[in-house]
Amino acid sequence: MEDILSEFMSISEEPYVWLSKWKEVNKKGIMLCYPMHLPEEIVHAAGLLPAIIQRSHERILLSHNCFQAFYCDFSRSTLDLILRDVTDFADGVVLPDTCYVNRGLAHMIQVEKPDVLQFDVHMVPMLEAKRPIYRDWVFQELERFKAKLEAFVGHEITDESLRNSIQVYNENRALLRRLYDLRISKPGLINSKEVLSIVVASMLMPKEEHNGLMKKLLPELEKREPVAGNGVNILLSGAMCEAVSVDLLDFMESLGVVVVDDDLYVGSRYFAVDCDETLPPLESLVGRYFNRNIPDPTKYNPDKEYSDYLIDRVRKANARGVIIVLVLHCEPHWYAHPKLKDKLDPAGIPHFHIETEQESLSLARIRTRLEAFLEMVKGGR
Amino acid sequence: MRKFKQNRLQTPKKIKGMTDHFYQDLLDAPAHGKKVAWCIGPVPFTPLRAMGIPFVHLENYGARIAARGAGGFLQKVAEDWGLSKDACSYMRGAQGMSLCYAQDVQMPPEIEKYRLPKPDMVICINYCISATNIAEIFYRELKVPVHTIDWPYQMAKDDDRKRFVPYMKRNIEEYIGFLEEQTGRKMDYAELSALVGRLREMATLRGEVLDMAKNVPSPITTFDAFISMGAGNIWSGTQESIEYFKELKAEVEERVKNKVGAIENEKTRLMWDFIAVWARVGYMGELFASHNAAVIANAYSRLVMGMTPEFLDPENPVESLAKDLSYAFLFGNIKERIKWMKEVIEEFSIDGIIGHSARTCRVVSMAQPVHLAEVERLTGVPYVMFEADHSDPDFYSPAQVDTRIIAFLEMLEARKRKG
Ligand code: SF4
Ligand code: SF4
Repeated sequence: MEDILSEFMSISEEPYVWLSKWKEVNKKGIMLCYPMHLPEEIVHAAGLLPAIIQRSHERILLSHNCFQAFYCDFSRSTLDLILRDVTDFADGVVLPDTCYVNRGLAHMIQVEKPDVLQFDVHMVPMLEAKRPIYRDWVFQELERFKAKLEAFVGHEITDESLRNSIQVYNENRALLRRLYDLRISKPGLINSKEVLSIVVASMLMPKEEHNGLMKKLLPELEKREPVAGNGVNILLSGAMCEAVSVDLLDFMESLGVVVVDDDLYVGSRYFAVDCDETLPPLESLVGRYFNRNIPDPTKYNPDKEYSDYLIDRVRKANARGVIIVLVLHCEPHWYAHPKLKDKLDPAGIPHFHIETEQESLSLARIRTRLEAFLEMVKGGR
Repeated sequence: MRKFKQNRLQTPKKIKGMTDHFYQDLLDAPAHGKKVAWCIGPVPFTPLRAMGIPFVHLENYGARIAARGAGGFLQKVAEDWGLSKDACSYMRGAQGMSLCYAQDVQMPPEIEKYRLPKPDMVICINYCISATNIAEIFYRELKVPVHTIDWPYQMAKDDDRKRFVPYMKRNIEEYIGFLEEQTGRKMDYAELSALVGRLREMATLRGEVLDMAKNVPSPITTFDAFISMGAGNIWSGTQESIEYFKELKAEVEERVKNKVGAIENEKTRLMWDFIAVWARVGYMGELFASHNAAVIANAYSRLVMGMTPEFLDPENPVESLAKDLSYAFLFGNIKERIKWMKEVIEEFSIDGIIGHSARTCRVVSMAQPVHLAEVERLTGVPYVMFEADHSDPDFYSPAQVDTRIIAFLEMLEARKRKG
């Protein structure tokens, strides 16, 4: 078990080193995919490795000249990775319009490094169930994306291969959910850094391999018992495209936070929804995207409110409070914020907000406030 | 301060009265039993006009309250509610207004003048994430029907436009369907055709007027163009908008004939990139004039309604509106922006570029350092960038901005003197 965990850990610590080595050994194509909404299954079915872009752990050097200070750290880091040639091993980059920041990113790459092969996919941000217009468009977009990938790899992406990819991905999602359920039932069984590395590894390595490792890891974990502690069970939310930094996770845990569940993209959102395997494959991918049960601030969703979803999740996980990580300058998240506060308070769920930017994360500044918050939550026992 | 003179055009002075009138009519509309629409983004307004639905364009409203010094109060209401000060200042102001209804916030009398009627419907075009987010907030807080229109243009590469047309057409059709549903009336297509015809005429006139800035000295500045934007926007498709630009054109032509410049003793000619600093339009006008610098070109004031007059065909109004959106100038497409700027630099004999990085409009400020540097590399025309905001005056620091701009203008002047 420890071997598997340390393999995941090493992948997530050095994602780009790992990917470029993988490419050298396997001689297969890699497509970098911008978070959060791309149906990776199509890339997988093309015989390529879809790898979700991760925040670089290194200092940003080149992209400060391109992005003014009021853009999010994640897009800045992505451009930096590309400009510094860190991602040159990749065959291309797929930029769905997660939010307008990465739309601009696409154009900047075009000017600053025109030889990078780009694919764009316009995933309509309005998740309106009653209006087929948007579903139809996303369907067309996925068909167009598929055709472009086919032209790139030089062969057809058959329905059969798509179906197979969907199955592999569904299996992976189910395995990750099993891990999360386990964490909820046995808080403290596994620390949040380890969980993060498992999810990050799933975002990077071939899903088949990840599935294999998960199938070995889970039964071992299930046998384990958590060490009894005096921590506070917390649900971690926010961060949008970015993984919460390991330093921040370690720090929170050192103060007594026990992460029992999360509402993070590099976390539960990544695998929350399955594809319906009974539908024709592209339709099933569209259906997955338009599943409105997992609302998120980058999407207009009249049917389910993000704050209600979060409250449900907190209750199901038996968390005593929520820590919300806000990526500095992430505008979509800001708009969701007032309602979170409005709803969490009357629901009696204590919440703590951390605004961060990996470049300038100051743990000392958070310490006293966080300690006080945890005391308050404990006191409310 | 040096002696300077701005030759103010007379026609733009009309805008204030026109705007007051527009907003008064809007405020009176519910009393006349009319349903009111709030529009987020450049929603095509001609269908609303054709159906006699009074509407507000919230960006126009944001600019209006910023220019009149009333934006701060409403923005603060939204901030107190929890919206970050870093969120789009237009949308913050609009949310402030909506909270006056949703949470009964009381407005002081000087702000009360700028009250909007509570919307009966909201229409949002997807052109930035602030737009769709605020639409969802209105939907939940004001509990009114919201209709969204997609607009995938920001993502577009040059070869994409054609593909958008049928999709945008379907979007416009559904938008019209929504208006019909809300009002229980049918669209008057003959009226829509007439409106599209007038929109074309207005947009063509607008382009002609703005192009007259190619003359040396320039008879019109970008600040006049900014002030005139409303006429092409909330009045799009009306006879008034045509009359406005006709009058402006005649006034500007007269100047061209007599070689009268908008700035006395014009020494340098500048391009403005991109959105206006609405809370400081007059102030900035003075700042440039005091250094004999004429800001004469920008893309922003050509945008909004009737972006592509060549595609507007009164015979096919719905398709026309779909094309207008599909072929719009792509400010998010840097390559296209660079190309546009290069051409304008030549045609308008531009000496320098003023880059306004609007802190809370990340869409139009996107990649500004990249395209400005690239334009300088390609044309040799230098630029200066400063950070401010389209409608939040707190993000404008005169001490920093003014010194920076003045230093740039002095550098340009010296450069010109040396030849
Ligand atoms: S959603 Fe947030 S983190 Fe992601 S690209 Fe947009 S601003 Fe950045
Ligand atoms: S962020 Fe910019 S584009 Fe978006 S609503 Fe605000 S001003 Fe308009």
